[in-house]
Amino acid sequence: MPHDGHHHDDHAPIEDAAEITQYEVLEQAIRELLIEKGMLSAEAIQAQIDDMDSRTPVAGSKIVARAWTDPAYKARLLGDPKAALAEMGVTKLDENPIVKVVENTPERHNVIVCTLCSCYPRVVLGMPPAWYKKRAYRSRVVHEPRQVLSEFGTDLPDSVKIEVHDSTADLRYLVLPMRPAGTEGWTAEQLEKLVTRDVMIGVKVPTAA
Amino acid sequence: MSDAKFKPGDLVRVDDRDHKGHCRTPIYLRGKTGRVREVLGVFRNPEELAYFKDASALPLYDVVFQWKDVWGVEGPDEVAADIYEHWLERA
Amino acid sequence: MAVERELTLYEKRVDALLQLLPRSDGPARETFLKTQRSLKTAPDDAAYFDRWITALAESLVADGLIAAEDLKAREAEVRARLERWEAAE
Repeated sequence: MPHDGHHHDDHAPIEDAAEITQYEVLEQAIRELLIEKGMLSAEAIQAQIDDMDSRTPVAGSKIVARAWTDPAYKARLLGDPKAALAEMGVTKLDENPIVKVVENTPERHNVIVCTLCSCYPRVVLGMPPAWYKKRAYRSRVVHEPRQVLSEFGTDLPDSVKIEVHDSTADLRYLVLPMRPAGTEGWTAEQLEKLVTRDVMIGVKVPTAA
Repeated sequence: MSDAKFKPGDLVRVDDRDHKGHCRTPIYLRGKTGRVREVLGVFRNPEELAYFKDASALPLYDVVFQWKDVWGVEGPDEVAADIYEHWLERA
Repeated sequence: MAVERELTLYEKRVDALLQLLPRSDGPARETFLKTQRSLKTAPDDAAYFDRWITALAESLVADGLIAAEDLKAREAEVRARLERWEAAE
């Protein structure tokens, strides 16, 4: 997606001056004051924005598709995710947290949440969707995961145990879904298209349809 | 790791004390019993204020809780959370 | 479910503050965490970033990290700069 370009000047114009909101004015004022007081730097803020702009769920899709087609890679992904991510060009910026990959099996389906705030595996998925950050998801998925998944169109039999991972600390979780039936002989590039963000959060399962 | 108090397979109970201030142990898991699945490593204590880089390091555990132990009702599902050692005692 | 769109620059900037403040050393970290605790139970039906920047501003002032008069003056100055740019277009 296009980015506005680099504005290292912290007095740079906000996008559309004609429709500026009080919140945008407030954000500009707060950011400038925090920078002037040395609590944050303009460079760090811009680097963070640039980093998030560069990350999309495509990174996660490629990782999952490779794990589906390359069993040795899958083993590395589960055993040493940091190294396996780096193999696919995904590296952390500064202090970003650690990724752990959790594998779906015929017996267990994983779904990710952060009940305390909105921790999310940004390094492989980019920005979290708005619904992930709302209490309607964060609170409900630990109380009634099957209902929440059903609302996403995902209905699992009782023979499949759902494991809800609450990202309470420094680890960020990525779901490795099962490779869907009907994809025999598909290349990683073809499989990538089936791996959406929502299947890597665990609210959906991928299908070949 | 030699410093970790618990190992995989151990039954642990999450303390049900109150905590004012920043805390990463969810209220819905306080007082609940689960099983250690993995020792995740040693991490800085998020509760230590202001000077985060100087916070003490604590073992962190992947703990799995059965539905009945979390919510008191039967169910096939589980909750897993990453809990710091100082919130856990042997069950 | 709402149709998704890319975030605006404003939203990305607020998001950046929310990512960087908890990793910073110094009093802004605790002010951020306190804001996070207070928002955890607040109504959250709309305008996530608007709610956050408002709450963060209030906390920063309440904790004495930013003076209320300084913030008010800076907001007025930001608006004035925007009006000058608009007039110049």
